[in-house]
Amino acid sequence: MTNNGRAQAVRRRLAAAVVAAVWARPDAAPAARSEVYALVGGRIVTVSGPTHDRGTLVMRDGVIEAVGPSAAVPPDARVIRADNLVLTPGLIDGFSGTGLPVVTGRPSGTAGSGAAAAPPPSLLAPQAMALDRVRVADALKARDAGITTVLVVPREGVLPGQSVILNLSGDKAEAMALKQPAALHLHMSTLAREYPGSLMGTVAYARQSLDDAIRYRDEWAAYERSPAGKRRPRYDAALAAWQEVLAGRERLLVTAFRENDVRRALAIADEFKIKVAVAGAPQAFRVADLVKSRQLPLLVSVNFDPPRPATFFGRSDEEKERRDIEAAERNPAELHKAGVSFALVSAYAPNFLAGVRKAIERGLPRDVALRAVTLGAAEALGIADRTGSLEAGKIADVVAWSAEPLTKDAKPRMVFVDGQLYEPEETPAPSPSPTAEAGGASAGSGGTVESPQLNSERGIAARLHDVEPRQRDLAALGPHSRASVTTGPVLVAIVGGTLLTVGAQGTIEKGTVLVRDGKIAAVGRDVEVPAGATVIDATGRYVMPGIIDCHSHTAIEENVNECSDSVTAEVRIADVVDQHDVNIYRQLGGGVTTINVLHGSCNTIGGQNAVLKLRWGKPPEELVFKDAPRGIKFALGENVKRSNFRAPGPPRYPATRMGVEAVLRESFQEAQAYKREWDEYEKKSRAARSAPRGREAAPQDERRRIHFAAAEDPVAPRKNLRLEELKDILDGKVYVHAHCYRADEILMLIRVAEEFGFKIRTFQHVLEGYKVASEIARHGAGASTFSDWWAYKMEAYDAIPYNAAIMAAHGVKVSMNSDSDELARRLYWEAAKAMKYGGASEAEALKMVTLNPAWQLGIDKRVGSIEVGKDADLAIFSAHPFAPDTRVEQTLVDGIVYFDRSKDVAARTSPAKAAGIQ
Amino acid sequence: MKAVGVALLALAPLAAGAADTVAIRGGRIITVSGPVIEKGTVVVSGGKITAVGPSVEVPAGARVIDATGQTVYPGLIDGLTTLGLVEIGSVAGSVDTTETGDVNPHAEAWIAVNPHSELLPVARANGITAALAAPAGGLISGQSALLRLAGTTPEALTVKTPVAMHMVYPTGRPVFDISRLFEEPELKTFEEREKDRKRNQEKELKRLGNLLEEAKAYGAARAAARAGTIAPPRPDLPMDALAPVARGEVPVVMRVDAEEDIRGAVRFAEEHGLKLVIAGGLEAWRVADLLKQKDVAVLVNVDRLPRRESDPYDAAYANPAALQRAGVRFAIVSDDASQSRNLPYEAAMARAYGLGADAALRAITLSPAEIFGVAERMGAISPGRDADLFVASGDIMDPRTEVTHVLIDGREQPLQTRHTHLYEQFKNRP
Repeated sequence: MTNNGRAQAVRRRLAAAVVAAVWARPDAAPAARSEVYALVGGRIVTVSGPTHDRGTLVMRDGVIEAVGPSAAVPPDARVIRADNLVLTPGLIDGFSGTGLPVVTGRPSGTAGSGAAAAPPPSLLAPQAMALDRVRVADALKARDAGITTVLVVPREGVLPGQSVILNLSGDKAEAMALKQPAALHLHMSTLAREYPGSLMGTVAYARQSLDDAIRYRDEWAAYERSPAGKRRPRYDAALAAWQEVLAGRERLLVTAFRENDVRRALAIADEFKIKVAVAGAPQAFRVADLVKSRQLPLLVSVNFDPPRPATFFGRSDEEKERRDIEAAERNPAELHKAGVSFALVSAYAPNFLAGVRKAIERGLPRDVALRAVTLGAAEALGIADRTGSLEAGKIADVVAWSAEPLTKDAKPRMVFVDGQLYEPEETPAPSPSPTAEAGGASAGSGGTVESPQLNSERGIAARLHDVEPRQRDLAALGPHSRASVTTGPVLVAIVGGTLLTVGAQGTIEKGTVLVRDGKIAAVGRDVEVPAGATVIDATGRYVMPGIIDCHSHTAIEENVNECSDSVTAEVRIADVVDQHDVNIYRQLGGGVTTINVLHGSCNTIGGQNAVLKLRWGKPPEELVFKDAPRGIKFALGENVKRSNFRAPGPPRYPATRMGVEAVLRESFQEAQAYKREWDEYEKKSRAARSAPRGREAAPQDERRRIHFAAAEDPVAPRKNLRLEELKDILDGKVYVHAHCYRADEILMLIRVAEEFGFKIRTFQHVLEGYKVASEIARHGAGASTFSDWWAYKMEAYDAIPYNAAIMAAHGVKVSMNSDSDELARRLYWEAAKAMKYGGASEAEALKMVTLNPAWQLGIDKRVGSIEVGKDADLAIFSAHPFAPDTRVEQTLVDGIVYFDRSKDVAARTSPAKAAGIQ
Repeated sequence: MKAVGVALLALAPLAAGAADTVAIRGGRIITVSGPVIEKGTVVVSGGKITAVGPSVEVPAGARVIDATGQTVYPGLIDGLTTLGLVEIGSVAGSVDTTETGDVNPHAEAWIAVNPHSELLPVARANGITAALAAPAGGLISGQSALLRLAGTTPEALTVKTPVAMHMVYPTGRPVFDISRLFEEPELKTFEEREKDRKRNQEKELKRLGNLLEEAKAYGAARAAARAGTIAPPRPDLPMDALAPVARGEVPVVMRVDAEEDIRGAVRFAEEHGLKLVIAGGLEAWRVADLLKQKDVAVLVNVDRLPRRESDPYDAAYANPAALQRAGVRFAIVSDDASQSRNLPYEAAMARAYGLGADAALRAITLSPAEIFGVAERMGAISPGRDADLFVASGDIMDPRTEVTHVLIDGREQPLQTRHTHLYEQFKNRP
């Protein structure tokens, strides 16, 4: 915004609260006499300055008047001896649920209980105010732990609204407000039965919200410039609530539950040019460098074992859960070691101090911890000019402790909030959860998990966890370290092996592949190995192009489906890539180098795919296959109809294959309308740009002036990220990967696509593709199928293992995919089955897991065969990949060895070694 | 039903009127129980193998199968499946694996086996000639039966029943229920969940233990009544089924994966005097010595992901090799119905990860026969054993190899399946 007056007008119209700090004066304070306290004889830890072993602290009318070893006691002061006590600033819990009603997991179970009386939490309401839900009596209990100041954030939902900072004195929430509203929040969380029901949905929701908020701003700005002749924009409280963040005056406070949520927060900040802060972040130490370089305000959780839903699918890995909890406990100490400053916050832990003590126990210096719950927290919340330390002029939030603060024995004897004395209960209220207290005690049940036990059984993945945390994202990742080959110009020669090139050179016995800078530089029998090349001896082994899996759900964080709607084209797998998914490594162990990570099949039109290279150990953005064309998942049939299970609640449309077709048709009709709308806008916008501009040129005639104003700067139509994607499909910019089974639905999709003028790039699964192979070939689509899965559901009953061979014989480019973290590791044998069932040639079968899926993903110029100029993505097998004794020995991506079986085996320790697992 | 049966018979003329004596001549014979015969003849007659050797004469009048350049194998035995009990996984009407409630010791798999399932010929066409069909789910799933994959009635299919009582070792973890995916999840800390798990597990184990002790008492009462010392107890189907299990006469196949749970299952079996076999056994490699010491056999499924993130990437693939080294008895199983035909490739994966070719083959032939107590009859090519065998174009664990002849009970079986019919119907569709 360039015009100040305009900006002010907009702000007024938007009712975006200009944030003003409220100096809370206790309502009940007597008007006539000043309230003055002098604490004499205590040890004073100022936090901001020196610690005084004996000193005096004077408070007057809610403000610290004097601090020091020789501060004078004013004559009107009430003198309190503080000998043997330690004075600190009041503790600040910079991210808490203080005073908010606890909403239990299952809403149905709470009906009629006490909690039901409270207003329900707002799950997607940026305009909601935490202040409105605070229960004063509950909030004040926090003082028993020496906490004087809290940021109150509703726990539930994704956009839970705006928090408030309370200073805990007074009898009304409003009176306690130190900053209201304090911040706008985004939890990187999901909703149960509505949108967004997946992490990728949450990111998409945030993106759409910000786009909408931008348009809202522009719409109002245009209206304010010249309201005459324009339709009055609608007031929208939710979009208005974003404006302070959008204008860069306030930070969006993002709650991070995972390492990558920190990256997601920064990505949103970059995309929309807004400022963010991050709360929670139990694995922030893994991104310490990023946090530092971006100067990201960080509110680090001490809720190390937060309540979570149980995991199903038998995927329980208690060992990993323990390891994650231990990592979270070490997180503050590691962050400190990395030179990151941060606040420590309860993040809803039932016992804040127990969590802080645990962080200290795990290596965080106590003085650093104290700063992190006082001045550090104040800094992160932007209130360090008024609180957080014992300095003259600051708010008189002071705690007198019975022992050194943040030790087990330290009990708050006196708590001053706004200069008002509160004497805590002798025994602090017991924490609601018994486990929380146990977590604080080193000898408690929570402390029984000792690392030696874990160390004794570390496989590859465990080893990675043992590596210095900051190295995790770097090169030195255990036995398959790529440090040796990444230095300098990379020159690798793989010699002596049988090369299955899948290219024009066919099979080459005793051949050499020369790799330079990650690309294949030479292939053949007589390739000279230059001096200085790293030589990989593949004598007796087979080298084939890295395997490409055209249907994967590996490395997706949280839900694979955004199931809340049957069209969710706006969600992106790329937003939720989990680079730590150990299945990446396991699949490298099966020779896989590239995977097509797809949204699930819950929806007719699912989300956008991400083609990944399995560069194990790299951050998520470096896994993305840079030049791969965009793609999207479609799905037809039983999964979309949701016919094989009963989901609670109202049935979702569609429930028949007729409905699936209707959803497609309706979606693309809508997309066409959207496209027209934007085309018109762009035409108008072009016209406006070419029209004469400026005040002088404005026509004098009133009617023409209005017309001119309207044309001057047309407000863009709403950017609908869902329709945007569909529009791009219509424009042929997006590859469609369509999950399907039955022949009739395959034909249906071809019909719809051709009617709307777009192409299906691949039919996925396509188990009845053999019945309509000619039609698929004529449309020009590829087919990505299972070798021999069948009979697991009705639409798979006519599935036959000859499917791939029949389709291939009809001219369809066929690939074998896994759709499974496990099957992905043995796709080479899946390909071999095409020879057994239907008589595909060896060359044809090899293509089904290399060049054909590369074509299907539009990356066949880069990968899929061993040919000069292509990426050096290679799998080295101990025998022919189709033979029964074969095993992957090494896997290279971009010429870098990411998997080396011999190193992996050598690095094993007991019990794997004891069991002879090798 | 009748129509289906007639159709099957029409497709299987050989099954109906096969020559009684068949000689498979000229092939490489993998006997499993003895050395490989590089070029030899197998003679079968009256449903039994009558002669095997490099220079066995072909009896006059015998039908001859020329196996020159091919390999002759004993029929493969898939030691854990739901074959015959499941047609289409997602269609409830075609699934008979899991009875209501979670204690169903009296549920007998062979009763519900559909001899006309399309899945049986599909498995058979890749050399699977016998399979253990087992109920699944709950705490006590029911009794399994060993089937030969030929015949038109449950009686004809059933080789042995009960083979074992199938149970699911209680882990204490929440059971997966897809509809709960859509509910507001119950939130608990890890420590809370661990406590819940242990409590639930103890509770369930106690319940299972009580059932077994009750069955013991019931069995004793029945015996006493037979001896005339007391009046007979009221008949009780579940207790009738469980009594021989509690006495250790019928083995228990316990589905269990985690190391801690396998140890628990071994302890539990010892406490209650059960004859234990482990099914699944994902972490059996961690307790191989214990399993050897207690002589517990394992029905192991190879193509799985490791249970823990920290496990070696190939932990499941190398699991059989570890069991083999420790001397544990084991069979490799598909633990499925429609995937049963891939049994040899599962064995191949174990073979690639340290098991070796001979042991891998044994794990899908003679070893399951031994575990199920039918090794006299099945699992190898030797005179006197049932004539369940097949001829293949090469190594059966090579995914490119084709099966050319399958004999069950001495009768050559059709290799046509639902899949070959559809293939023929559509391969040349323009």
